[in-house]
Amino acid sequence: MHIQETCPDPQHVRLICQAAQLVLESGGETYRVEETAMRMANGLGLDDVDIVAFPTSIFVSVGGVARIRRITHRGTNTARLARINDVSRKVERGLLDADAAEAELRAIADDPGLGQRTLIVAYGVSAASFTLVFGSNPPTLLLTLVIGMLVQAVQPLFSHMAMGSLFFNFSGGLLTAALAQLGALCLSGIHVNAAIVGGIMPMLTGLLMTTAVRDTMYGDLISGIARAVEALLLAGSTALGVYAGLKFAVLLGGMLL
Amino acid sequence: MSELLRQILIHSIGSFGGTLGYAFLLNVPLSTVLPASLTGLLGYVLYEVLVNLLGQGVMSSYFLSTVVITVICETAARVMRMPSTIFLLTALVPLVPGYTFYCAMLAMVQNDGAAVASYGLQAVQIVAAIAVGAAVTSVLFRMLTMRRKAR
Repeated sequence: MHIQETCPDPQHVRLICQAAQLVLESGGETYRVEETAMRMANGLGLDDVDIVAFPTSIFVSVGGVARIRRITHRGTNTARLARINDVSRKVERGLLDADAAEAELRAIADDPGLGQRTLIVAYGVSAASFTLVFGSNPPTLLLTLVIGMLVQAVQPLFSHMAMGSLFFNFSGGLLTAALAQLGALCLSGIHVNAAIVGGIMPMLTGLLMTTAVRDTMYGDLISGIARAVEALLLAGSTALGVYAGLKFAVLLGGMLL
Repeated sequence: MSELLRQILIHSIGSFGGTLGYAFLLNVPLSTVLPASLTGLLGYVLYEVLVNLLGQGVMSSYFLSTVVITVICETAARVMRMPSTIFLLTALVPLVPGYTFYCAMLAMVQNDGAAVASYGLQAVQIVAAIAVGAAVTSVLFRMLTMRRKAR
């Protein structure tokens, strides 16, 4: 124990970093990142632990040893959040030792999650269902289902980029607005407005704003501001995409609305 | 009246399906898909009832239904031992002001500056109402349960 205080086990430090990084990359709030790390540190019997997390980086210091992790990819993967939560609670209660926890965390990091096919169907269903809220009819429902699936189908093109979600939102808005109007041109009885709104609903990020405000309420001012800016940028890129798509229809020959 | 009920029924199917699909996009744990979608449905119907039947203002309806959703989500999270973020991120999605946002874009294409400003401002207000409603409620909820645990 005494030895550990002067020089912490590198594996323990690595574990804490890994858990914190995974939480942040999966869309957890800043307080959750810090809470998870502290919980694991308690379970591993480390004291003198401090952690600072921002949306783009994590700083961990354990008994004089400091680690920095750079976060480049941020997404939302809630199944991951739940599993890491589970692991950290088990470690805290002493149900998992460091080796088992490390294996568990690696398995979580390597788990690809749902396949692209499922996501395509999910996006289509979500978009089509939302049209019902905005005044839909059967042809609009089907058209939006197809548009939604197409929007998600191009997503892998942007997934490797830093801030790829900006391009995804732009292309999503563009595709939705342009295809909905093309659809209305070819088919009769399409409610263009409902189709476009339904199509962009799953990518609007009013919810990132919620995370931003939660971070701010917990006193993580810098994270709160960074997340608010991210939410605004994403909403702005969707807006630009929709604007471009609507303009495209104007260029094609008059508004079809 | 029956017209309104029919509308609410269709909207609730829409918000349920929309939340369900969105839950898969966020890769939520399978056991939480149904509870989260039902909460999304309930929140949206509550909003419609507040606006249409009880004649509340738009902002206060958004705020109140967000508060109710957040309380349900935080409770569900504790019952199911899951991070509350999972429930919140999914169940709030039908309330996101997509339509207002789109109206602002449409007005921009039609060169109607006044309408852009008015719709845009309205969308910002709604997002603020949702964000503040959810954040304040969940922080308060957490403080209350934390204190009970500490005793």
